[in-house]
Amino acid sequence: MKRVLIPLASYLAVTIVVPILNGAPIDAPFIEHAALTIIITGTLSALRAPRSSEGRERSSDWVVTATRQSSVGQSKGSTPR
Amino acid sequence: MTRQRIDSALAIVAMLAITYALKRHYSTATAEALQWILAPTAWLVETVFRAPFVFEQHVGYVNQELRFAIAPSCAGVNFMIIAICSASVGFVTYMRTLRAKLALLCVSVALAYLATLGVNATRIVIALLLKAHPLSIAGLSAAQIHHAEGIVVYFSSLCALYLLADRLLARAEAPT
Repeated sequence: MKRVLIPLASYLAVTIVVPILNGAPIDAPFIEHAALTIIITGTLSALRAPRSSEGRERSSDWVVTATRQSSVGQSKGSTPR
Repeated sequence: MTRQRIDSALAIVAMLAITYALKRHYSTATAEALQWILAPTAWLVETVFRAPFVFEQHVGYVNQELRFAIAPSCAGVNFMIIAICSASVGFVTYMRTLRAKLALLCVSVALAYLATLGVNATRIVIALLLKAHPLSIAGLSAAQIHHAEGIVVYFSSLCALYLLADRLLARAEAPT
């Protein structure tokens, strides 16, 4: 979920928040549009969540390796972002 | 505040100015003013779906036989704005200098335009297929299914392109 947070926030901002700030009437069609948008984007983001936690496991493994390397005198500067 | 953060803030302000101008143009633009995005989209749909779309003033590209119009409301400009925002905010920290951050913004605008053409044409082709072979999903109307299809195609494509670009930038930055 964290990996798609920026696309999700941008999507919701442009399709829901900006129209509200521009004074769009919050009537039944707008609420239907907002509900459909939140449900679908939320579901799709949640579906991507297992992959992102997989990624975190991999990166934490990498940090352990780096720590082991640094403990034998190698630089810590090569830890990937 | 470090120099890098100030540069990132300046790049984001520039991005906000570009997206604001784009949104303002889109909110009042006619089909004629949106030719820069409607014409290539219609061409792509014609090429894939093999159905001719003719430009009609104040309407957009229309296929009378299919009773389908590629109108300003489905030009995909909002998707382009979202893609520019996502790329600029998400990847600005990969760039070290202000010049690189502004270059990222320019590249984001160009790639967001190309991505919009491809994604929007895909969305329209799927919409045409759904029109030809209507689905009934959980009591949703045809209009709601069309709306839902748009969200699924736009958001999935946005996430896929964002994750791909993130991976490519991380790989380019990683030590060899």
